[in-house]
Amino acid sequence: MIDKSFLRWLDGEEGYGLNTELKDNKVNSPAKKSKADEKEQLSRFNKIYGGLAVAISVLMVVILCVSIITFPTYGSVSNPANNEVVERYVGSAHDETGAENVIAGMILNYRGFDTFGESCVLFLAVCCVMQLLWATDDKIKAEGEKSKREAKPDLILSTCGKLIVPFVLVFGICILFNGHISPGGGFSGGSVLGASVILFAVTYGSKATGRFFTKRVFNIIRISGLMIYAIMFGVYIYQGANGIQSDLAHYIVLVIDLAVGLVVMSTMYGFYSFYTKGDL
Amino acid sequence: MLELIVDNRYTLTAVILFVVGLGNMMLHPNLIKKVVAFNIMDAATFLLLASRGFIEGRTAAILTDGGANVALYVNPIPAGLVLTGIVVSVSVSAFSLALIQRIYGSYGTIDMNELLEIMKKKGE
Amino acid sequence: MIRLVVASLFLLLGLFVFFTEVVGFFKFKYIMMRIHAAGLGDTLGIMSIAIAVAILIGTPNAIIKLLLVVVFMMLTNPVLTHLLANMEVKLHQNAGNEYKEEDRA
Repeated sequence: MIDKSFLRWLDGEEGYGLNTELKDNKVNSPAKKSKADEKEQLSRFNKIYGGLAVAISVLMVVILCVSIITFPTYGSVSNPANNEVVERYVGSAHDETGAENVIAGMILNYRGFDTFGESCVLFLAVCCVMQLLWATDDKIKAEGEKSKREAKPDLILSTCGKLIVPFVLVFGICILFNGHISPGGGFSGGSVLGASVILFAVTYGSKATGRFFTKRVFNIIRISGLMIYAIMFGVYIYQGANGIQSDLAHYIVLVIDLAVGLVVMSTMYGFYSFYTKGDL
Repeated sequence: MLELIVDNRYTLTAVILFVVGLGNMMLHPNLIKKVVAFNIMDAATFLLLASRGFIEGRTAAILTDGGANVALYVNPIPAGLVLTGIVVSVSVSAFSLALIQRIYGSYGTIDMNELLEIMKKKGE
Repeated sequence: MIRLVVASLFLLLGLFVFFTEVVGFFKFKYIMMRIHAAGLGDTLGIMSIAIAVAILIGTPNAIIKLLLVVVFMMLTNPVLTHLLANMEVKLHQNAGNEYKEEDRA
């Protein structure tokens, strides 16, 4: 929402903004402003605004380029970022988390709370999108139903989609399950899985997806993903964390990866579904 | 000078991308293009962060020897930070696009100037 | 040596295609022409660059992966172009005619 004071500044009222020209205009003509006057003011404001925007961009380039000079050398071992924390993570990630992919081990084990927050952000985002785009109005809903019934999947798209969908699905599952020993993990695997479900929906029509991905399944998946994450990580922390005295440590990364992947998948499909139909 | 530019090529690209995004965000009246500009700025930040973690002559942090030799792998921490950033960026763009759709539904336009005029009329 | 020359020829072809794509994308005004320019790089450009990389690396593992990438791109990108053009035709059925009139004037 635009601030009220910004609108007043646009009108050139006293006490709002710094544009003296507009202010003078207001003072000199106490009568009601004509339409042409307003138009002229708006165009003048746009000119000043454009000039200021370019000036700010150029200033930003100069400031950032000056700060580049003080940066440490690119790719050097002696950079301040390459300190003992990195050595600790790389050196003991395999023994403590059981993950060969250090990044997966790091974000799901050492920094597990951070990733839990991320999953919650995704959860909240899909909740917000749901609230904003839910087709509550009966009229809108009826129109949506009508268009949904009328819209057939495109022939070229569905032919191509039938070829691709199984491979994308298998590839997503592969990324998800190999996240701890190769590049990949919950977020990337979940996105590919979500993409495959979206592709399934556009290929076979949303009715086919509605057969297995109902509203109930959607809610169960996204909530149970977060719950699995919270319970597993809570138990892990309670048992002593950092792999000490814990048998859980060697497969916690895989399980949490799966939970994150479920959350991401349902979020991706939820976004698609709410943007296209306003409903699941 | 040239050496400085070649050494900091990723950082310079990040700066240019960031400013392109910032300028577009301020200059475009179309709200969807503002979201696109926002995503360009995000990409610039990720490029800067990811390039900071690189170490000359080392490979990605996928352990092949169980972590016995630490000097083989690059810094994994910026990669984790970029992962966090991507998730937040996706969420924010989805949320803002949903807001824009609602704005279009109730005002019939997503142009900033037209929206301002409509709101002015409503205020009077 | 021959390998390097052939690979660089393919690489140059790919770069040229991408260059024409970018120039066309910014030069053309009507969306169908833009789609035509943009669809060029997605198929021919990526294919020639993948061939160049496959020649340069040469291991069977890499060649299979690059082949998969090329097949995937070849399958998906024309569909994407078709859908964009389809949407344009559905939304603005008279847009092409209007553009032609403006162009003549």
